[in-house]
Amino acid sequence: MSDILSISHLTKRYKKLTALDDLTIELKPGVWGLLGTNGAGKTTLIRILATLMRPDNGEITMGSISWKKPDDVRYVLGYLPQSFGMYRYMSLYKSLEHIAILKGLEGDVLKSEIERVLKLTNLTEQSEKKVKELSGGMVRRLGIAQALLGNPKILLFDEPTAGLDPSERIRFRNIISSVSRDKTVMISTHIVSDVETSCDRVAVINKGKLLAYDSVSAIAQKAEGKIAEIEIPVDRLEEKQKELNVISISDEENGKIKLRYLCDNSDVKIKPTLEDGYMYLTSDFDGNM
Amino acid sequence: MKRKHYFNPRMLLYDFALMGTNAFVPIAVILLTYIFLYFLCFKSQFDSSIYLSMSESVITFIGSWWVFHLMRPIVEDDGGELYLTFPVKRSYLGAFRVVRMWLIYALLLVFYCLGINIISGISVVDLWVQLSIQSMFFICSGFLCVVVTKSASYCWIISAAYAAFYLLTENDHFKFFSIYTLSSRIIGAADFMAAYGFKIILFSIISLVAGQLVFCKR
Repeated sequence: MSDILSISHLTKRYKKLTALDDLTIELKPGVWGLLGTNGAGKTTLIRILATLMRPDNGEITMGSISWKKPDDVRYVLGYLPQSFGMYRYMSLYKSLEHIAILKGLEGDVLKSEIERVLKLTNLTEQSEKKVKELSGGMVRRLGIAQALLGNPKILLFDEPTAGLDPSERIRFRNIISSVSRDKTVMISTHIVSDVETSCDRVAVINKGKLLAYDSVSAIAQKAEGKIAEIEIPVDRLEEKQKELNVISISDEENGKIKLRYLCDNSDVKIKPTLEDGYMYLTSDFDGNM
Repeated sequence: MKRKHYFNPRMLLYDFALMGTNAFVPIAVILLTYIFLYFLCFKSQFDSSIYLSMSESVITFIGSWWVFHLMRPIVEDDGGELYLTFPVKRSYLGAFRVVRMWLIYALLLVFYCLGINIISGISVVDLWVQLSIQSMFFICSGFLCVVVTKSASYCWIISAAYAAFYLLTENDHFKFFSIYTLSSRIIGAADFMAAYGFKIILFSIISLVAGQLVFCKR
């Protein structure tokens, strides 16, 4: 079976709004970051991939599996929704057991799978605790654990680090890197630093269209020669923000701040980051849309 | 395709475990209603019609409680859409579990009717047929309601409003849509079926099918 997740001419409309517009992409196994502003179409794409929604046009396949038969897809799918608030009254172990049965696991495989995902997510010691007694970060890890049950080939994470503290975000990245082998993992987020540190490749979408998909460094390179920096007094920030396509602002030092911005042609060679590349692709700057 | 979860008894236990304390509410209400009626029957000049009116108004209505809380994790709780990504048919998550809940509730009603028979002599079969069919309506319409409104609280209000309307107006308006007999004495099972039963079953099936169609569109 081919491991390439092939998305072809995918279109989804909500009345007059086109959420996905003829999107075509081939996703090789690895960790993919799906970047886009709010309303770019990330959640729609994730929901279609998760079989929660049908596209108006286009098709998705992975080897012999077609999204036209959602039941087949669900056996190879692990999904973590944006918020995970179920199973309040049940213990962590029982919650996973319930999901494992729903995923078609049974007997010894069921037990060993639960133990495996508990270990991976470092939740073994909390397994008898009720979900309502867990911290937000632990509930998120439970969400990841349930997605990993059954060792699915496709993992979809919708805004997985939203609301997590820095240590939990690092933990999330470590879990992803340890489980991503031979899998297609898609992380939908608008937090660029998460993609930079966790993903091998990035797909950038805006207003339902795919702008680019490539490795993290290749996306960053799109902004090569288009980045400049300027140091200005703090009181001129507002004026400069109106004038320039500001990407980031440094912390204040001696009453001055450094602005990083997009420009036509930069004389100074600055190594672009993924954030620069993403901003370059998604901004109206230089007609790039 | 594996379909072993359909008749896996652990799945039924999980359905109840997911409800938390809400799983005990119908059992507690049935028990309290019975205790109330039990002590009431010792009162002098006791009117036996209260067995029927209490049973019709409380016992049938409370059956829908389970369905609201059975569907709540899927339709209302944060991330409930996750259930729809598992390799499980929506007919299992919806109609199958609703019908199973009704069967369990109908089983519970057998004990209630036996208890009522002990203190009042009312026929177990006649009372059970009436109550189980009336509760079927609340359970199936509760399913439709919860998948449409996506809120267990709204459904509770809607069901309570329906019950209150017909009980307070004593079936004076829109009688065709009422499931209540409001009779002071038990109607035999055959007479109940002819006068009310088939109509209520039809309403229930329509609600169940409509609820399942709405649920499948999610």
